[in-house]
Amino acid sequence: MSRMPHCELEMTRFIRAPREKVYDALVSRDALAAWKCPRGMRADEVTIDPREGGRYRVVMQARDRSTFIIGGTYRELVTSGRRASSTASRSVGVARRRRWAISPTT
Amino acid sequence: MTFAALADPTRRAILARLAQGETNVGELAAPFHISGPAISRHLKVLESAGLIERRVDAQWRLCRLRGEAMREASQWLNAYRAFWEESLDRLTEYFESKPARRRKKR
Repeated sequence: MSRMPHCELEMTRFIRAPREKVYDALVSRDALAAWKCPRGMRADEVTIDPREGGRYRVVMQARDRSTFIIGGTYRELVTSGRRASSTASRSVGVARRRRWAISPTT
Repeated sequence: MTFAALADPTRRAILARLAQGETNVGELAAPFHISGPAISRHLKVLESAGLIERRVDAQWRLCRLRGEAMREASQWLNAYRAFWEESLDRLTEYFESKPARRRKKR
């Protein structure tokens, strides 16, 4: 009876790059290290296993040497025809599921 | 808890109505084509999430918003949104400000 309660937040960005490259940025080690880190932090350690059930983890360090870890599990990776998407999720008290859809602009 | 309560459109409509001020239950239920018990269930969910308060004044059953829980919920969502806005800005920058580096790869 009871549905999983959820709250959705949808965001869109227009990126001047081919879809495949954008997809790669979601599943590549160097790219994650570059864009996941907020300013003033650097990636210390990036582990990534882009397949269903695989995990990713970015350990970053701030200038004051405090560390901050982000990570999750890839639930689904789809690259078919003109669309690419990746779904990752992570649990910290509440379940958070992130879904990325990369579509061409028309 | 708060988000589960906010996930339902009827409950959001109830909150929107209560944002205008304390309201009695009968008046609150009037715009919805659902049963009294269904409204009561919605109010119970909102109450246990700490979003509303119920009281009885003579023959009136009254409801009103509780500000703090609503503020916490919106603060949390704003923080989460800000986090992702920044992340997506960095993802966009990753592609748009480093063309030389990208050409080298692959």
